[in-house]
Amino acid sequence: MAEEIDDSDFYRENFSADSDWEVFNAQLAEILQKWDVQNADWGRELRPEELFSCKWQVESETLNLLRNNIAVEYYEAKVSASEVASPEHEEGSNVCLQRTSCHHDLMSSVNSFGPPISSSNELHMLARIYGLRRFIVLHPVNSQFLKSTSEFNFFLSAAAVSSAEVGSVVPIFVQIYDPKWNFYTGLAFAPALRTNFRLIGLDQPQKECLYLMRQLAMFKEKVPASYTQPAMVSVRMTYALDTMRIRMPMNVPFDHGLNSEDIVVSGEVAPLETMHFHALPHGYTPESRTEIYLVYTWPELTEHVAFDSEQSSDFVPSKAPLGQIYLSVEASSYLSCCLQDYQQAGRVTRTLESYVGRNFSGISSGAEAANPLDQLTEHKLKTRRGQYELPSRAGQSKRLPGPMTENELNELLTYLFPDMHPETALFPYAKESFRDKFDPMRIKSAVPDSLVCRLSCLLATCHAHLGGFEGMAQLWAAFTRQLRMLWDNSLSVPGITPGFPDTRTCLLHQKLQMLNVCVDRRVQREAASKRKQQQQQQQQQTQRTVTTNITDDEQEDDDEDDGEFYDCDEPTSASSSPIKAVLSIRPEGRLQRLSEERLLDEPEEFLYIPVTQEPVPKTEDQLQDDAEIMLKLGPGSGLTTQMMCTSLLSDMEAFKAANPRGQMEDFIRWYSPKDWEQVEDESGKISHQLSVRMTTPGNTWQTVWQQAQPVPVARQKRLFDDTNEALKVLQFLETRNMSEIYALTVIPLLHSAILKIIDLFNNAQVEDVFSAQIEQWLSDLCRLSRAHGSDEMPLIKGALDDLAELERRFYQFRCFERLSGYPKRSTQAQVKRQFEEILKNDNCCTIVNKKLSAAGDVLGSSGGSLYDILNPKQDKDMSERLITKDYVIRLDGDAKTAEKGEYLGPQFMRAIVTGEKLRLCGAFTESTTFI
Amino acid sequence: MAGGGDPKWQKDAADQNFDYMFKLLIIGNSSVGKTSFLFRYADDSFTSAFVSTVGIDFKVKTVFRHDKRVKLQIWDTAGQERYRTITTAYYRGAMGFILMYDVTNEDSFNSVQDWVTQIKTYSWDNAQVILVGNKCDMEDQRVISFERGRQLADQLGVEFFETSAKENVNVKAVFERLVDIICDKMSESLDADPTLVGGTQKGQRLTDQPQGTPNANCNC
Repeated sequence: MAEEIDDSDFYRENFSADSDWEVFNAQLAEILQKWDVQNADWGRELRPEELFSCKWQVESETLNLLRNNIAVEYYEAKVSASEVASPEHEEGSNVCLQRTSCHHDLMSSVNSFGPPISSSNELHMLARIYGLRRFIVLHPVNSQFLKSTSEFNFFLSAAAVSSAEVGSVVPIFVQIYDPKWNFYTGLAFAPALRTNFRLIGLDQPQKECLYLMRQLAMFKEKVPASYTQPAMVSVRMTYALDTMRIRMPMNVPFDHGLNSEDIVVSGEVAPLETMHFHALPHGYTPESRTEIYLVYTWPELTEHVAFDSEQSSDFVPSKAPLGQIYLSVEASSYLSCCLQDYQQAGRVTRTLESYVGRNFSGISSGAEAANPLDQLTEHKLKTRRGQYELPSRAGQSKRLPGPMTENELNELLTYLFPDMHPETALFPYAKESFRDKFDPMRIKSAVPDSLVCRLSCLLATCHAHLGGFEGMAQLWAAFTRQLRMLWDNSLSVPGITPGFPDTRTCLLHQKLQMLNVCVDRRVQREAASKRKQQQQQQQQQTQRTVTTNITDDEQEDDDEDDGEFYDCDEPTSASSSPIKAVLSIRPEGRLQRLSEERLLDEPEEFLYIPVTQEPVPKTEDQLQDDAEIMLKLGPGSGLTTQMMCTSLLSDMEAFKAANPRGQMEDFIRWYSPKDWEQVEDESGKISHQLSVRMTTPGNTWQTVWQQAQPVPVARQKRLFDDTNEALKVLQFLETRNMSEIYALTVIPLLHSAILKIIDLFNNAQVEDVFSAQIEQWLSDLCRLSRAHGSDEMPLIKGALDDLAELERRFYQFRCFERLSGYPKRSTQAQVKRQFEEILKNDNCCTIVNKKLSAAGDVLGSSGGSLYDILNPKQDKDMSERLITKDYVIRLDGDAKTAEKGEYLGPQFMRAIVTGEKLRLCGAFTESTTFI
Repeated sequence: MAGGGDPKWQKDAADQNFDYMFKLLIIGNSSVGKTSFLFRYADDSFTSAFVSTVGIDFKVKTVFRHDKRVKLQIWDTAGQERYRTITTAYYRGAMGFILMYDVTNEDSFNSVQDWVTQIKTYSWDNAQVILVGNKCDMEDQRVISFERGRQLADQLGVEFFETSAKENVNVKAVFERLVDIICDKMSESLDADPTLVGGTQKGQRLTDQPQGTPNANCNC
C-alpha cells in the first residue's frame, strides 16, 4: 500500500506533501461530515419488519482516485420519529452511551428476516444481512471492482481513518470482488469499540458447518471476549412449493384466428369469463406463474434450547412457532400489455393520410371546396331519414388500404354502428344508458359502452392484435368515413349522449355530440323549409299579396334555407291588433306573450317574447379558442363585448320584429327584468324606470338596440351554421395524426379497461377483495382525465402500472384460491380473508402462529382449514423442498457489565445456507481501549 | 392597473412569470354587483353605472400569496337567464367561484341554491366556492340579514362574507381567502397524490390504504 502511494507521488507535479490516500481521506471525511454521520442520537428501537417496509433515503457522491471513480453512498432508513418522547429514558437499564444505532440494530431480532421475495422492495443487501438502518458503502464505478487484499485494505483503512476523524458512528463498508457476488468488508466505530464486518462465502464447506451446532462453535471462537450470557439464535427455514400456473388463455375480440390459441402448458386452463362485451383483449400470457414459498421462523431462542445437526434437527415445520406463506407472482395480462403498447401511438406523429392514402374520406378536395349546399339539395331528393340503403358513393366504396380485410373491417364497423347493419349487429347500443346518466366518478370520458368507448377499445385492440398502426389508421379512417356518410344523409351518430357538447365528457365525445346537434338542426331546418314551401304554395293560391320585404341578397339567401316559425302567430296578431294599428309593419316571429304584459307605448298591445335563435353549442376546444382570443384582446377592451354582442343583437332584432312598437324598456322588461326598477316619488306614487346602467348614454345595450333592425329569426343570419360546424367536426377527425388519435381516445380506453376488469372480477366474485384498489384507481383516473388540456398528452404510465398490478393480483388470487383447495376444501370467504392479508402484507400471509393460537386467537377460528391444507403433514416430504436456511446468532454485552462501563459490544453472525453453499456474515466487536 | 388595450397589459398577458394561475368566476343573479365587485378589486374603482355585462368578461390580476406569484384570471358573468348557456360553458376549469347575492334583494338570495346546482353540474368537483352578500352598505334597504347569509353558507359548506363594492368592504378579503383555500386544497391533493410527489415503489400502491378520501372527490 505504501508502495502505491509513493508511486503516484513520484509522478505528481504537485510537490505538496499530500499523498493520494490522504487526499482521498480528506475528501471522504468531508462527505461524511456533510452526512452528519457523527450524530449518535440513535432514535428508537425498530419496529418488527420496519426496515423492509419503510422508505430508504440514498445519497450518493463520487470521488476520484487515481482516475478511478469511487462512489460513496449513504443509505438511511426513513424511520418515523418515535411517538414515545425518548425511549432511552424509559428503558433505564439499557442506557449506555456506548451503544450506537448500529449496535441496537445488530441486536434487534425483529428485523432478522425480510420477505423472501425482494421484487417489490429493492433493499440493500447489507440492510438485509445485518438489519442496519444507516450505513455507508464505497464501491468503484464503471464496472470495475476491487480484487486484491491490498486494495481492500487501502479503502478500508481510508474508511477507518476518515470515520475516526469525523467521529462517525455509522458503519462503513467497502464492496469487494464482483458486485454481483455481494461481498463487503466494513467497520463501525463507537466510543472505545470497533465492530468489524466480514462476509465470506464457501462453496463446499464441511457438512457440519451447515448446521447450527457447528456454527455456534465457530461463533464462540470468533468472539474476542468472554460473555457470561448465552447467545440468542433466530432461525428461518424457507421451502419452495411447486410453481403454480393457471392458464387463462388469450381472448382477442373480433379475431377469430387467435381466439382458439392452444399452447400446451402445464397447469390447468381456466378461461376468464365476462358478462359484458368489451372490445379489449384479456387473458394471461403462458409465462404467468405464482411461486409459492413456505417460511417457518423461530424468532428468538437461546442457544441451548434447540438442537440442529446433520443427524437431527428441531427446526422442522411442525415445530415452528411461526409459519407464513409467500406468493411471488409473475403475471402479465394481454389487457395490460395491449394498453401498455398503445402508449406508443402517443409518440407517432405520422399523419392518417400517410397510412390510408389521400382522399380516404371519399371526398375530393374540389368537392369539399364547392358549396356544401349543393350536396344537400342533391341528396335530399334521394334519401330520407331512417332509411339505410344509401347510395354508394364512388369514393366511399373504395377499399381502405390496411392490414384488415373488408370483412374484418366491416365486423368492427358493425360493432360501432349497429344500426347500419341491423341484420348482423350483435351489440346494439342500450338506449337507456344514454339518458342523462351521470357518471358517479366523473371521469372525463363518455358513457360506458358508448360509441366513443367502443372505438377507443377497438383502436387499442387493432394496434395490439390487428395490424398495428396500420390497422389503427385503417379503422379510424373507416370510422370517419362512416361519420361523413351519416352526415351526408342527415343521420345521427349512434351511441352518443344527446344534447349539446358536454364539457364534462371527453373531447371526442363532444365532437360527436356537436355533429349530432348539427344533424338535428339541419333536419329541423329542412323540415321547416319544406313546410314553408307548402305554405307559400297555399298562400299563392288564396291570396296574392305577400308583403315580405326582401331587400338584400343575404336575406334572400337565408330566406331560402331558413323558414322556421315564419308567420307562426298570425291568427293571434290579427285578432289582437287594434283597429287603428298601422299594419305596414307586421309583427313576425312571436313565440308567446310575456304573461299579461303590454307595451309601454301601446297599452292595447301585448308584449311578445320573440322566437330567438338557439344558443350556439361549442366544444371545449372551441371555448378555449374563444377564451384565448378574449385574453389576447385584453380585458375591458370592448372587443370582448363586441364578440358577445352578436347574440344580443339577434335577440333584439327578433324582439323588434315580434313587437314592432316595442321600446328598449319593453325589451329590458323581458330580457333583464332587474333593470326595470320600481321607484317611488315623494307623493308615494310608484312608477318604473330603467336602471342607471341601462340609461347611461352610449352603453352597450343602447348602442346595440339602436343598431338592431326588426328582423325575425327566420330571416336572421344564423348564429350557428350547422353545415359549416359539421364539416369542421368531420375535418377535425379526418386530419388527426396518430398521436392525436391516441390523445382523443386514451381516457375512454382506460375507463373501458377498468370496467372490463371490474366485469371480470365480478364474474369471478372477487370484486369485494379489490374494491379499495379499484376505487383508488378510479379516482386517480378521474383526476388524470381532467388534468390535461386538450393539446397535451395525458401521462398514463402510473395508472397503467397500477392496472397491471391489479391484474397481477387477480392472477395471484386465482392461484391462492386453488392452493387453498377451493371449492372442495375451503370456502371462498376463508380464501378471501386470507388473501386480504396477502394484499396488505406484501404477498405474505400467516398460516401458523403458535403464540396467537395459544391465546385462542385468529387461527382457531379462521385459519384452521387453511392451516391444515397448507401445512404439510410430514416433515420428511418437506425436507426435499427446503431451499434456504438462515441462522442468526447474536450475543450482546449484558446490562450489568455495561453499567460498570465495561460494555463489550454486540457480536453477530449470520449463516445463510443455500443448498450446499454457505455464506457467513460476521460482525464482531472488539474493544479499542487496550489497542 | 390593467387598462383596456394598454400595451403594458399586453406584455403582461404573455408574461409567464407566475407560479400559479387560478381561474375564478363570479356568478349570481343579474345586478347583484358582480362587475362592480370585480372592478373594485382589480382597478379599485367604483361607479354605480357599470354597463350590464353582456355574456362574459374578465380581468387579470397578479397577487403575491405565501411568496408565490398567483395570477388570477377572473371571469365576470352576465346574470341574465338568457346567458346561462354561454356562461356555464366557462365553468369548466375554474378553480374558484364567488357566488354573489344582493343583501337588498330577496330573489337574488333565493337563487343561491340554483347557482350552487349550476356549479355542481358544470364545474369540476374540487372547485372552491365562497358565498358573498354584496351591497352591505345599503343597510336601510337590507332584506337579508347577516345571520341568514351565514346560515345558508354553513348549510352549503362554504365560507361567507358580506361585502360592499361601493364602500370597499371585504372585497380584497374575499379574493385573498379564495386564493388561500385553493392553495390549501392544492397542497392537500398534492400530498394525497403519490404520483405527483413521486418516489413510490411499484407494487406499493395496491397494498396502501386508500389515501385521503377518494369518495370526497365524487360526491357532487
